Amino acid sequence: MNRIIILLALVLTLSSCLDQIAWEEAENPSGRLVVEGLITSERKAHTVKLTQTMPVIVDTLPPVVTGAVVTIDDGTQVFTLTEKEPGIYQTDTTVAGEVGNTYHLTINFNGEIFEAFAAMIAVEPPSSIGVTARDNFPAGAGEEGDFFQFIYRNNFGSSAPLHYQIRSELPENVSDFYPPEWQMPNWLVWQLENQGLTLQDSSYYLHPGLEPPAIFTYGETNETRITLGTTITETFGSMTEEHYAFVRAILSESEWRGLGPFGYIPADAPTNLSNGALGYFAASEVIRIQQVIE
Amino acid sequence: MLSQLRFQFLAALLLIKMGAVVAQENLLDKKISIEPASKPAKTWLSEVSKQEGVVFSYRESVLPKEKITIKTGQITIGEFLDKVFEDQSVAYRVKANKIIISKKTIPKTGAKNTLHGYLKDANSGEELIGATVLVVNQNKANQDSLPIGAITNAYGFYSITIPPGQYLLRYQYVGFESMEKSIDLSGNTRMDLFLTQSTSTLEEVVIEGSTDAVDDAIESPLLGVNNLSVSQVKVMPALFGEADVIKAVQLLPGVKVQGEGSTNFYVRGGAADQNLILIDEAPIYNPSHLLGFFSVFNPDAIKNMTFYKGSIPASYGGRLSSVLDIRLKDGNDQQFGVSGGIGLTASRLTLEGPIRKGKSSFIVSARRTYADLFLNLSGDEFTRATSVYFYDLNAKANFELDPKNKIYFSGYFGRDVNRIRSLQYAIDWGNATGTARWNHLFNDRLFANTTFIYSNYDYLINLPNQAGEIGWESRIRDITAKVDFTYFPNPKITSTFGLSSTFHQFSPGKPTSDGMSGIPDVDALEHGVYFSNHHEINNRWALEYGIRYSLFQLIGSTEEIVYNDDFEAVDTRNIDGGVYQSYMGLEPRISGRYKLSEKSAVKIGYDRNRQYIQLLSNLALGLNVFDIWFPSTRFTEPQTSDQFSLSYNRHSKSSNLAFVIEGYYKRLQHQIDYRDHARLILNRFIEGEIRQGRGRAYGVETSIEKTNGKLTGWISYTWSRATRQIEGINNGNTYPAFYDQPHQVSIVGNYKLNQRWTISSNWVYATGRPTTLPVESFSYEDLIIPVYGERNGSRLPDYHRMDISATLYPKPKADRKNRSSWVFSIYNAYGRPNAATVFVTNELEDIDLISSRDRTAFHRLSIFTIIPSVTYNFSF
Repeated sequence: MNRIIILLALVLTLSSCLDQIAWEEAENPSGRLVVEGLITSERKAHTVKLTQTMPVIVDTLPPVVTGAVVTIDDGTQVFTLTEKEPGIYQTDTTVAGEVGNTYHLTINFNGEIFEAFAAMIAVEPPSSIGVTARDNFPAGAGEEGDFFQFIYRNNFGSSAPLHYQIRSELPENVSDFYPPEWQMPNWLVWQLENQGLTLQDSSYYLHPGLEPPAIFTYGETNETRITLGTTITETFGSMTEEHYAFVRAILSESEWRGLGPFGYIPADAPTNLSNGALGYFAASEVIRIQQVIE
Repeated sequence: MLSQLRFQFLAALLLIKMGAVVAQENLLDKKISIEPASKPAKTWLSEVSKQEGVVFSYRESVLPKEKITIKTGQITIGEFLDKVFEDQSVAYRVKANKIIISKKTIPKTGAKNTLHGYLKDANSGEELIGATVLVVNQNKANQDSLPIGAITNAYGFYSITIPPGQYLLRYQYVGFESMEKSIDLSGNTRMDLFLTQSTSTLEEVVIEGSTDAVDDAIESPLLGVNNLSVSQVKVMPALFGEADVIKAVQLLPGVKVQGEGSTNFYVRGGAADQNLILIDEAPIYNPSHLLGFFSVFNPDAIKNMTFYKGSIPASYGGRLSSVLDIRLKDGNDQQFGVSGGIGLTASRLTLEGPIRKGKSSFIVSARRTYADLFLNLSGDEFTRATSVYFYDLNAKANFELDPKNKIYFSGYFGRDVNRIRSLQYAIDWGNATGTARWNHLFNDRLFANTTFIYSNYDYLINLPNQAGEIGWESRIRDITAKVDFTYFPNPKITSTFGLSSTFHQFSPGKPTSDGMSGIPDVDALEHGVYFSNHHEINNRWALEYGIRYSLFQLIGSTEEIVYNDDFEAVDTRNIDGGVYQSYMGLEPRISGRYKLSEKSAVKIGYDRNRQYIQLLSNLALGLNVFDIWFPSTRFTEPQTSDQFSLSYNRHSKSSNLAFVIEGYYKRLQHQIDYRDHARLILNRFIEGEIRQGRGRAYGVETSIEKTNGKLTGWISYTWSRATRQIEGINNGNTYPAFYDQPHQVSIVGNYKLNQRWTISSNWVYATGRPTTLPVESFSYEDLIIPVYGERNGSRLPDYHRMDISATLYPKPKADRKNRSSWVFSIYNAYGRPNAATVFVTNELEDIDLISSRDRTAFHRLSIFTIIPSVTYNFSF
């Protein structure tokens, strides 16, 4: 859908051509440090992942950084991270961030020091998700009948940047939630046979603005059919403006990389890492809301 | 009774004058016999006086001291005097059977009469813009040997003020037979003249230019001006066979194009919004149809096009880089006519004719594409529900109220429609303009044009989304009142002056769906007052100098979003009315021509321009659909430019070749670019995305043009650079503008094979456009993120393309009234896949189909390969 604008033009020309080309300038990476780190308000092991830059065209995993000394401090305590597997550094499971703290990440790798600061801000209390019965298909009406749908918190549905995750799970026995004469619709049969109980497990970044490329991305990937008894779990993570700017940039450079009027002009993603490192170290308050459709 | 007496008196005066003229003619035409010799002027005069009994009256100080050689034996007295005083500042005249010899003096205005009138096309009555009126044999009749002439203004009006006497006048215009006419000027005289299209033009094949145009290029002190011939544009190869004036402009030296098929163009390092595009004086804010593949200009409705990229006359304002002034036809005031064309994608139809023969006329011209009609035949539901088309309508009427007053009404309306009805998907955009003009002749030398202009551009987006529809509309609307005067005080000076005031209404973005906040509307006034002189100083020097003063004011009630120094929106301020922000400035413009000979000239010029509105445009692919016009505000300063240019022009009449080489250097201030990942649509805080800084452009353009003969066309080469330096972009370092293409070649040729076939071709080459491509990448949350080098630090592959067309005309017949032609064309004849863009993303199988989420690749998108087309044109 996000390419429909271009398609309209190209339908008329019937002669556009897309091909892959070689680009010699992009074959020798510099090996800069890449940091992917997050500390949340949940009590758990928090992870910092260290890798290095790669060639532009890749079909392998990035080279990992091993042997680094990684610490996080909040001004009063210092948490030392342990390398659990190559490139994956974790705190112990007792660590939980607190709203109002600023977290300081320090990485000592090959004698070079890389730092980042991340403030944890509070997540705005969300309203409950709206779920409505789809009434134009009466129960038992056939293939498409009898399901509920809900309106997502769309990508401009938040007054502040927000990391939003949603997971919907079917109950073990759906028929228990319906009258005895109820027949399972075909889509549900297909779902159970092919996908299992998990209807959806998605992650979104919400924000007050509107991201034109994202309109279409979200619009075309979401299916919202659920049944009675479905459990919907929503997770909300706070984001600073700087953190959202980074996420927006990496989405612009990957999933939103469209063409034409809705595409963004290519540019580097910002970072809060020092000394030429790439990536981002973030802090986020996390809350969860769970409901069962009855 | 009084008028009768006045008539009798004038008639008597005229008879007396005529008698005097006859006597003068007789004396000067009297044959004398001279022994060839070399003598001082005084001796020659004395001998002729004794021999023929002619009385010469003069002061000795007036006569040249050197010896004058005369070889001819039998000559007239007039010829004798011309030889004696050849190249001297001496004049002679006959008075009471004496020949008075005196120093040449610059004639006083009051002692002269004015010849004025309109030049028109004899066939259609169309007024001829930029035609030349020359006084050919002024030396014999009177004092002054400087070239005397005038150029018709935008309404075909000319005025020459010269002393009474007999003159031979030459009227000339591109594509028309020159006309010479003798006149005995004994009082202020109106002379409307009708020129006939040249023989070559009357033939079916319409490709020949004229040496007159090249002469004008040498005579004019303006630099970087191109007059484009609509007839030539029509036979040039065109995309989908649709003749397009913008695509012809893009072939001119110094004009860059962004990508394939785009209507955007970039002149001498300026951005696309720095081109003022006018249709009958009304600005067109988006000249593109179908995402830019076609322009909005229907060639059937166009009379004249002038493109200014060097010296921009002071009468134009509001843009930095160029002016494309397109004038619509007035309509044939002699006979009713129908013309049009049928192509594979669009058809055109034009009706024109007299409302009152010779006094008033109308023209209506329409065009529409019909690709959507074929979509209805599709078996796919969505395809059937899809509407994709555009249309244009041009209409104009003019009425001559009396010899001194004429009014014109013209309008343009065009719209692009892209809709999928079943999905509530819609993207529409279009321009609408209206112009009402009143030409008034205050007297023989003072011409005034008062104009009221309306212009509107808007677009609408409505997109289906999982959460409902998302809709957005944007608009700019202008209402302008202006008055322009042309004053012809004497043959050496033509003055233009005037003033204008425009009321702009900006509505940059207004949501049509819930849950979104729009960009506040802004109203503004833009005023301009100017004065300019065209001054022929002597045989060699001519100047065009003028100054414009512009004032821009934000007015009215609005909500102003306040930004801090970090471009963050930090507050809003309610404006209750009145003027709350002003910008103003002077814009001097001067250019001069120095003729090295009759065939060559050197020109030099300086121009300053100011621009108060700008286009915020997503430049990722150059499809100029969702552009937003935005005014200068407290946070976005007006753009300015200073351009210095120097040229050498040469014309060889024997070989019909015209050569031009022109260099320029341009400084630009407050140029617009955008922060990284700027969001330019659907963004209330759009001004926070703008960054401003300096620009620089310089280059050399050269072309050689063959204007006549079986083969016509031009070859041009441009070397140029365009850079930007803007804080916050590219770490504040200088970077190339995205249209910086150092080398550019255009070859345009038309060859008249025979009476029925004309072959046309053009070939263009340009250095690859700068682009920003990654040099490495990193992984984050399983996404592969590119890391870039310098802004615009890479270049797309070089661009080149050849187009070919052949035009077939019916067998010539003397009694043929209807004219027709078939135009067969091939766009991108050798099918080069020129890159519209190169980008990195997951491996794609097609433009909307990812083949692998685990692998990335460089992709090249080429929009057009070989596009054949055929168009049938007709007129009767």
